[in-house]
Amino acid sequence: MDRRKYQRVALFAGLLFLLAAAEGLLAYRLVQAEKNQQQIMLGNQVTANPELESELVKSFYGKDEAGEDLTAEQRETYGQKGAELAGKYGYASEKYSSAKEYLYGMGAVLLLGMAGFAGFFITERRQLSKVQMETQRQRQQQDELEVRFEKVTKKLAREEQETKALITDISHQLKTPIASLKMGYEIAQTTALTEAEKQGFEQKGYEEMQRLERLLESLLNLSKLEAKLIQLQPAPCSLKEILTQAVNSVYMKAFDKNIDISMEKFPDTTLVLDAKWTQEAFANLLDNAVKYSPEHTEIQMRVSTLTSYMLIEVVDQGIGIRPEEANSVFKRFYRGNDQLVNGQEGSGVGLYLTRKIVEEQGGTVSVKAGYPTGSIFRVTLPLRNI
Amino acid sequence: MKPILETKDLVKYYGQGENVVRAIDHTDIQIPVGEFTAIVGRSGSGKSTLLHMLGGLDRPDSGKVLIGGKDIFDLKDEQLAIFRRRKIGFIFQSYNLISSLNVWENIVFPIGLDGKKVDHDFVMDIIQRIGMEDKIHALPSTLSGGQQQRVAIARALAARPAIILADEPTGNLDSRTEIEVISLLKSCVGDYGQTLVMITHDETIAQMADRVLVIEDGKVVNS
Repeated sequence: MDRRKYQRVALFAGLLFLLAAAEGLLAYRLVQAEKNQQQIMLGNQVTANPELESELVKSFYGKDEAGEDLTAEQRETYGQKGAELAGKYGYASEKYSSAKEYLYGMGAVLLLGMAGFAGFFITERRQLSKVQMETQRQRQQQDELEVRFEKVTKKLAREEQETKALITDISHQLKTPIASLKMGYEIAQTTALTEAEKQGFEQKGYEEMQRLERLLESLLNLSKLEAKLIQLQPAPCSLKEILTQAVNSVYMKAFDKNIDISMEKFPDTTLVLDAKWTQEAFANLLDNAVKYSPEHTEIQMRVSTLTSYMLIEVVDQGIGIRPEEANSVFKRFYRGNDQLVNGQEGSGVGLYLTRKIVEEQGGTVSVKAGYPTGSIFRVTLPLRNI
Repeated sequence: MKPILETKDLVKYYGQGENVVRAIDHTDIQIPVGEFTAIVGRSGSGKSTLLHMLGGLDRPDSGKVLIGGKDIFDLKDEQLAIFRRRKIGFIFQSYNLISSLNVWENIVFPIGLDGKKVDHDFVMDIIQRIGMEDKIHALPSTLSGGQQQRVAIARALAARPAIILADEPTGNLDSRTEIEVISLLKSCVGDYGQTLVMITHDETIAQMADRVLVIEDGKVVNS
């Protein structure tokens, strides 16, 4: 930057010097030519009138007969006389030919110089605006970087907070089934129970254990993903394969409730996704659909290709989600207040996990009310994953 | 966390006396940098007026709009126009493409207005993302609504503004195109580190936002 500036200053000074030198040289030559012309005239006169030699020399160098300088008055009178004479012989319009070419030369050099400077200044201006533009661009990039940096900082802060909240949430989630188990055992130990009661408690205890196991499993998944213990590993995979696997994982549950899961035919697409986790995301959606649908209903999966995304819809005929709750169902550990929801087993992790998996891979998930009942969960996954 | 966009005691009334409409009624909001904020409200709740204020398209009766801590209404109209062009990208329900310019020209037009050079690779990257690479010479009238809105998104992104303001961007689109356009917008602003503020009455869109502000009668009732 500095060196370039010096270069430009030097160029400017050099150009100015060249111009001055050319003009000076031409002016010098002009004076020389004028002098030469005068001498030619003097020689010419003296050759014609040798007797007037001394007078002529004096007059040519602007002196009177006595060798004194001419007065202003004399200069004016002689000048007028000379002009009259030139007019009388028809030379009034003649110009000094000797000086002419040099005068033109000086004019041309001046013009050239001016053009040079103009060019210099124009490139200078351009250079300047280019520099300004570059600066602006850099500032913009810097701003973008700052935003990114701030985002990362914020994300870290949020993650820390979320981890804390997660620990609290998990312990809370685990407390309830354990407390109920504990109470069951306490009752069994302190009270005399009939055989039937005993069996009932054992059965209840076993169910509770199973619930705990499943809960633990989903919490483990969640915390692994949250704590970045698991990185999604995208690789090219078949969407049809992922969806089929997801359906298979809930197939028995659906079968028990006589719920029919159907998938519309679609041309298979290769997407860049983490197959295992994406399958988990869809399994969660389907699991919910089965859980919150009455028996003898239908769950439909529809797949369509959009311009930049694949759209996968899971349509059920279940209890649906109230519009005011639609925003909350994707929150961690959120469960509806509805009797129908609380009657079902669940921890409020599934949809949260689904959203996390999908969004982490550049997609989105949302829910809208189905017609006439039920819900439609819509997942988009990018066709071009960068 | 400092907000990139902030209003302080913002007021805008229309009409007089008994007919006064309190479009924005002493509203304070903060939009955090890099987030997707949805502003939700019924039609007539003042959300569009709010967006116009945020973008400096309209001056408030009183109060401030701060962008990066700077009150944009301290600027003269001409300065404000330049500031807006550099900092904010707009996406409207009606696309607002220039019908005599083709897709490419429409996208780079605002960059030209600013006298900047077009970052060819960056713009091409956006065009590929929106899936319009084989349509760059097409005129807007030959495109579907969804395609036009994708071009409008690319135009808003191309000048790399810090903030994108979208006013019901999918109001004229069918539900599938809508979901695609929002997905696209969300992932683009995420990747380019921009802040997105979107006005909508659609709950589905609000679900995809990082934050939702609910506006009722010119006031933020829930955030």
